[in-house]
Amino acid sequence: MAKFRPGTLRVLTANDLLTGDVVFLTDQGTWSRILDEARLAGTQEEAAKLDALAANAQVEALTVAAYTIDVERGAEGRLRPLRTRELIRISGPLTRLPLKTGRRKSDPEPEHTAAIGVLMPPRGNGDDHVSL
Amino acid sequence: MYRYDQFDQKIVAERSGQFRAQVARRLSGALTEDEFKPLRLMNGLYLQLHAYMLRVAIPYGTLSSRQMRKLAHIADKYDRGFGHFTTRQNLQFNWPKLKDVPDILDELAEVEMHAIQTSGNCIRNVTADHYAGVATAEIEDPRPTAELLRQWSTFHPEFTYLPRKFKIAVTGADDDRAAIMVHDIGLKIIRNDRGEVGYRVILGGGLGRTPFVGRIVRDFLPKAELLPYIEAIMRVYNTHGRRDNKYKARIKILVHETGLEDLRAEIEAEFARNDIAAIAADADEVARIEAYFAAPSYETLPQLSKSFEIAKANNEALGRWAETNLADHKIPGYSIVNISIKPVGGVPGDVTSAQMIALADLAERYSLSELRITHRQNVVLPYVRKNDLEALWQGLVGAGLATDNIGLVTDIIACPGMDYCALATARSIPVAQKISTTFADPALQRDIGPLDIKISGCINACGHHHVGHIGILGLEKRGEEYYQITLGGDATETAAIGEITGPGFSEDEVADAVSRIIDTYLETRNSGESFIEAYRRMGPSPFKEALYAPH
Repeated sequence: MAKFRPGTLRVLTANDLLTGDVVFLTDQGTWSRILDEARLAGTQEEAAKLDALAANAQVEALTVAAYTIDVERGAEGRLRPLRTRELIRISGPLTRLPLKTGRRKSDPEPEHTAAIGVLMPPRGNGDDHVSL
Repeated sequence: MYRYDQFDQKIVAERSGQFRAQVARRLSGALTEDEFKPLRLMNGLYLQLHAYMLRVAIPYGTLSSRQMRKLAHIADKYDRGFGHFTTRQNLQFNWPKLKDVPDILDELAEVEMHAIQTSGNCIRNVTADHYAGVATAEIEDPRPTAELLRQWSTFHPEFTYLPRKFKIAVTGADDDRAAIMVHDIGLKIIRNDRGEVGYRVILGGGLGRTPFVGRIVRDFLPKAELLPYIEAIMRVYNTHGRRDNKYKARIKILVHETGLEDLRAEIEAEFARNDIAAIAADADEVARIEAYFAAPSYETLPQLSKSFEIAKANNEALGRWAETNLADHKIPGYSIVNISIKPVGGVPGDVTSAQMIALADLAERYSLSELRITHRQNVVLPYVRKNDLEALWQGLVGAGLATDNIGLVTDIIACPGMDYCALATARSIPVAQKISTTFADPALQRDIGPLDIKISGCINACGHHHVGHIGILGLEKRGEEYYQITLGGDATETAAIGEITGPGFSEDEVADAVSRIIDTYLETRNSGESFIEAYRRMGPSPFKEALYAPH
């Protein structure tokens, strides 16, 4: 587990098994393509729970290569990763793609939220220690 | 070019069917990711930063127009309309969906293609000189050897789980365009004093975090003994190659730690134990393979094309392109045409589906429907009549493929870097773009002359930075990208590993640093002296001075 630094936030990210899209675990236990919808861990204890989830079998059933990353809240209140690598991973290649759109018609728009599967009950149901 | 027989077609079709079943089992939960990952990798399917990536094998870089059209179709139907030519003569799609990959493999199989041996600890796709069969001063076409090795190595049960991946390159010419000195095994087709054709076998070259130039392990290997000897090498490597540390698992480390003489003795002993006759390729099979690579029916033409000479004289852009992008062909009246996939400010090696179709069209019209992919991430049309060069060039202009920079400062090799790759520690593409934009002026490029800039986004060195005249390695320090520069590398027959100049540079600084290196060369070169010649004469000092002395 990466060392948790107080003042930062941690989220669980992965790639969607079917599409490979970058996704984030939400408070509802679903996966979203939008970082701002991610479940946030702001304490060592919460971060440890997210880290533990990365190796969870139910996570693996829907996603590939789950791991946690540290993020911060930017000036406009939106989340952004601390590392350039993760910024690129979320935004797509920083270089211009060869086509005008760089996107298939069938692909979702970047801001589209897609719940690709319910992983766990929403938080706030009285059990923050959800056994998966 | 080679065409599949029933056996080839059967194994590729079966493999595709197996992967379809494996994907279904992964999606159903019957396979965990840990179980599935090696299976998908054995079919060329990686996970990158944003998506899966499918690496399609282009054996020894030879491709038909029909196959190129299929790649364009796949790019449009299953991906985002483009692909990326790699430094191992393959093509990568950056955005395939897992659910689509079995269909993609089926489509590839329709045109005798696959993604086998593009990943995993096996003998990888064998690469070869991209001028194979048409180069001047070539002893023999290296592609029959590469194809024989492909057939022998594909699904070889003994060599499917090697200590690490294993790369073989072959050339039949003195001018090494296949970088054989920095492969696990490099094969050079030679003729001995008795006039017999065989191989010089180079062992233990490689790049990555511990670069080595390969060394001669067998000065002359009779052609008929190729497979038994390679099998002996593989068996010794499989037995003694380290499996405890992936960073020390390549054969170059075994050569280094064991010593060439001891390892050679062990290989020769293993070779002597082999049943050579049983392992050696059947002469009829070799003849069958060679027949596919027989020279086409060339026309009898004058060496010079009057019409092309007149066209060049009247068109400066055509003249510039001819100067850099054409190579001598072994047959009078023909040219080897290099098509640069390095537009100024563009992404090295990226081609759109429209460009793939244009390449296929032009190959059909002007190059007997055959193309080659180079390890320098460019494309070659091997059979172009000089009388057709102007028309071909017009077609390339229309497709945005007429960049006239082969071998010059803007013909930069770059891996996908951190814009795509999960292993990368820094971006490669924007550095290549900045440098190529800085040196966009065609006159300046020609004044600088031959110069290889090679950029890798991590120590794994897919961008071959160690063997760039100027090598650039992207790293990460405290969350920031920075770039280490090496000088004096060389991927050819005079192979050398570049020397690190000193502390690295930020992304903002690195293009300027390259400019200072090139300015130093321009100021200090002797008449007619290339960059690498000047570096060898002067050593690193004046370049370090330019990079690090306070100004």
